[in-house]
Amino acid sequence: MASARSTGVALSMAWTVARGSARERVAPAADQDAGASAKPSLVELGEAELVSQCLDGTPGAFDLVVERHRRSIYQLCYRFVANHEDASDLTQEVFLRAYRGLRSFQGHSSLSTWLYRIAVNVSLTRVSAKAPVAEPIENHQPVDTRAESPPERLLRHERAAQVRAAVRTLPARQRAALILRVYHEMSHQEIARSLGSSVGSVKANVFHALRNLKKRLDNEPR
Amino acid sequence: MWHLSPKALIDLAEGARPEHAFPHLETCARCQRRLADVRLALSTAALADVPEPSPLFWDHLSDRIRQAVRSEGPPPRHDWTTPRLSWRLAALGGALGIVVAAALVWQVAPRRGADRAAAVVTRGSEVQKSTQGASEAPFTFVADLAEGLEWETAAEAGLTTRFGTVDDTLTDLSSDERLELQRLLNEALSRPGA
Repeated sequence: MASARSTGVALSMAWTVARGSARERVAPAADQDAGASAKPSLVELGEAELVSQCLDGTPGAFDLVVERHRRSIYQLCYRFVANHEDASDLTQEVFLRAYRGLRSFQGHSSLSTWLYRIAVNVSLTRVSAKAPVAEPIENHQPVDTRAESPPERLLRHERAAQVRAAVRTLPARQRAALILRVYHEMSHQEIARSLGSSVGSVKANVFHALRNLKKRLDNEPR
Repeated sequence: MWHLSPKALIDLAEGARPEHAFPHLETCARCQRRLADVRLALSTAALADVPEPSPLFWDHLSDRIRQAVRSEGPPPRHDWTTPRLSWRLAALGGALGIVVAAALVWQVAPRRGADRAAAVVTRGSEVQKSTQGASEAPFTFVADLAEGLEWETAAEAGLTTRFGTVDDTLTDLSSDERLELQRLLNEALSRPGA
């Protein structure tokens, strides 16, 4: 009987605190509803405010995050896996993980850096688990017939495919550092934060990645 | 002879530091060659653009992500700017867990277990007496072991009864009922093929 009473008291305390917390959340929301006409649109919000709206469940908030970052995340994933289907799946996985972990985004880095970190982890996990897939021979590219001749265009596409294939053969950390530095123009500090390493290690990885890339391309027939 | 480090070569290739900051570069052909290689590799790597997917792909991708997110349900309604709320809830949850665990472990289970332990341990002699005339050797052996057995020792050995189990029910039988059960068990065991 004494145990049941003490349990009941504890449950009562928990309920009281939970109700108080709910009132705190409802009150600001009520104030926001009253001033809805003066509320900025989602597009005008900064990253921190947009993330806050996502956590509040504001319709369209996370859709806007996806729309802003989907291309860069897709391109990053593509550079790891070099095919459209896997890159598409990885991009979806990245945003799903970001949605689940939104509350862990503290705002110490930019949202893109945070998303890149997730994308690198997801991509590295995929490439280590799955055998590399040969890149499709034909990739439809937007054609600019004014800029170059067909043979030049073909040569450029082939060279790009060779470079992508060579990048895929790099060790994981070299590949990640190179991709983030060369293709996404992240600073060494941001890359270090994303990969959980130091600036010196990032620069060393980029150097070795470039050296290995050159070795592989020098062995490729032109 | 020392040469430029990979970090220095990257800084030079990317233009983060000027060449005149490294006087060694003017006189070292090896470092000059390595720097040229790094610059060439950088420009070559930049050629690898990502093939642009169909224009319809992006909206389709957003739809897929939206569907996946919708199946997850609403995000946790936690304001990351006020950690004090999570701290308060975590502290309350811990305190509640301790109270409930203490109530269950120290007041509920041990009382029932102690009662049954007493029934098992203190009635060892009754078991011994009640097996007269039956195949008493195994029962006598167990009764001898049970006599003087402490509750904690029995619990650590996993010998105590658990609520709702058959052996727990047996401790509720009267002496006559227990005798009758023993008779039935002996009869079943003595049948051929048992």
